[in-house]
Parts: sequence; C-alpha cells; structure tokens
Amino acid sequence: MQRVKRARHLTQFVFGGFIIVAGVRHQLSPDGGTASVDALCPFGAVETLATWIMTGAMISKIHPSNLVLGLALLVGTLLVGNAFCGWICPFGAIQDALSWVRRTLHIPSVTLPHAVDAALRWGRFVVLAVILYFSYATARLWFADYDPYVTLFGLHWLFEGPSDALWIALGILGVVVAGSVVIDRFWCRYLCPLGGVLSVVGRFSLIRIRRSTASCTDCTLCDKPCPVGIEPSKAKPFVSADCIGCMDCVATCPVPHALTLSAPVFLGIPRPGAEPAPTATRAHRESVHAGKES
Amino acid sequence: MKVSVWVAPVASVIILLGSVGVATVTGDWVTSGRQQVVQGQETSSGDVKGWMTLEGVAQGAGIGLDELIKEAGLPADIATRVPLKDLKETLPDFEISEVRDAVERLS
Repeated sequence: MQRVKRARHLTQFVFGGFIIVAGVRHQLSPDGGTASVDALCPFGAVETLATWIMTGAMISKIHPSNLVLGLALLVGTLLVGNAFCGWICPFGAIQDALSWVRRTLHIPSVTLPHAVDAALRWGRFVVLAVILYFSYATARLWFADYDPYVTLFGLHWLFEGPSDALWIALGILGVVVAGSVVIDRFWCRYLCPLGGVLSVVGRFSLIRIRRSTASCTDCTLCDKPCPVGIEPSKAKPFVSADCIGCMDCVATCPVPHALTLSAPVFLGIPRPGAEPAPTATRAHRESVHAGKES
Repeated sequence: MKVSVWVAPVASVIILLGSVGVATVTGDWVTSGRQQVVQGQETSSGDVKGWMTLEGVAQGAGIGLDELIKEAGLPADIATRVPLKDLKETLPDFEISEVRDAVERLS
C-alpha cells in the first residue's frame, strides 16, 4: 500500500509542476495566448455557471477550458468519487507538502474541538456563496484577486510590481499557508469553495470508501493519516463526503477488507448483502489493539 | 463489491486528461481569449480586448485607423501599436470602453 502513497505524491508533483510551468509560460508571453492558471482550474466552470446559464456568455478570464475541466470533474466525482483533491489539485499538494514540513520540523499541530471543526467546515459554503454572488454581479472573475491558488501559481508576485491588490492577495495566501502548517489541509477543510461543491456531489458517487463493521477492530489507526480529519474509523458505513480520495486510510488499515472502496453505491445507501465477510478474528483484534497501545 | 483502491485516482486522471484530449480534437480546448478572437479579423465592439492594439482593432473592424482615433477622442500622436491596456500609462483618463464605443459608432 505504500505504492499508493508514492503514486499519489508523484501524481501531485506532476500536476503541480505542470501548473507552475503554465504560470511561467503565461507570464513570459502574456500576448502569446498561452493558458493562464485561471483557464486551467475547474472551479472556473462553477464561477461562470450562473452567467453562462442566464446569458450564454462567460465571465471574463473564463474560457471553454474551464467548462471542459468542470464537466470532467463532475463526471469523475459522480462515477468514482472525489480523487481530484487528493491526487490532482496543485494547491492541495502544496498543503500536503506544508504538513510534511511541519512533521519534519516537529512543529506541533493544532487539533480543534470537534464542534468547532464541524462548524468551520461550513465556511467553504460561505466562501462559495460570496464568490458566486460577486462573480455574477460583476461578470468578471472576481475571486481571482483573492484566490490563493491564483496568487501562488499565477506568479504575479514574481513577475509584477507590488500593488495594493497584490498585497491583499498575498496576505490571504499567508494566512492560508500558516493555517496549513498547523492544520492539515486547512484550506480544503474550511475554505475551499470547490471542495464544498465536491462534498455535495460526492454524496452521489457510485464508488465510496466503506468501513466493514464486522471486520473493523476500532483500532482508529486510519484516522491519523487522514489529511482532512474525517475519522474513517467512525464511518457508518461510508466515510464522509468530505473525503478527498487520497486512500491513505485504506493504505494504513491493518485489517484486510475493513476499509475498502465499495461499488456500486446509490445515494449513500449500502447495497444489500454487500457487506464484506469479517476478516478479523478476536485474536487479531487483540493483537492490533496491543500493538496500538505499545 | 470491493473495488481496487487504484480505480478512483486512475479513473479521475483518465477522465480529466481524456476530456482535455477530446476537447482538443474537437477544437473546444480554448484556454485564452486570443484563441477565440484573433486580432485583425472581424473585430466587433464587443471583441475589443485590452491586449489588442489600435491598429489591430481598426484593421479587424474594417475602419480607418485615423478615423478610429478621432472618433474615440484620442490624441492624433497616440501609440497605435501598444496594447490598449497599456495606454493608461500615457493617458491616465483613457478607458478601453472609449475604443469599443467608437467601433460601435463607426461600424
């Protein structure tokens, strides 16, 4: 299962590198028609959706590429769940890297009380609502001035002179980076508007991670590697739709078939008779718990 | 039914890249406004963008450059090969909408 983790990090590296190259190319040849990082983000499809439906036109800086990526993401999430956040999103990759830096430097992480964490996750929908409103009202890519993804990968901070707008954007990015150092995937958990959309769409995925109540030994080892803190050990039986599809929980679980990708799933309802046969004997459970306590 | 852990990420990548591939083949993979509106070719007032020059706008709209400059109320010695968005550096009061309106009136 370590192969899964290595493959994920490699995939993140490839997509992140691609976005950086795209940002550099766009900055070096702004008149050449090269893609900006705005054009390569599927969230652009969400931002222009209302305008596109009402008028048939797209807001400025949004192009057909955004619609293609948005549709692909929608279809992919419905079919196989949200793996975009865990495997592809460059900003997610940056946050994973910051978490690795924290662990390497032994900086203590921050664990919020469950109630606070649950309340803060609604922040994604607040951000989403604000963006949708201002995008439609201004008919422009309003969020681009504040989007930490654009700020970081658009490289305006590197190629352009300082401006009030840039300082505001850098401030927002700084807050997100600082938050991501002490809380894994801080942006994803509490602020990402695309994550909010995908958490809703993900509820209708045909494939979801499922916990076998018969096999699970409640060792909770799967909770520790979860970047978004959704506690797979408590899944009943499907993990939260906030899952980013990183598969770290499945890779970590010591009991065969206790955590698996399960299909088909219809509206979050387990298919009758689809519960995997128990694989954990009493002796196995006791050994797992003994290992956890030592 | 148990599914391999590889299914979700592999399928996501394939769907994403496959969509880009299909869109590229069908001509729908457009990532820049400059791919949709080519300067100098059938430019209407709504097509005028900040990256265009006065020369390009006049050529695309099929109107004389001097006529466009005069209609937009711009100085006769204005730079005609500088992107419109950069004209603000020499003309602080300049707005691209002035060029759009001029094209609309002359078309």
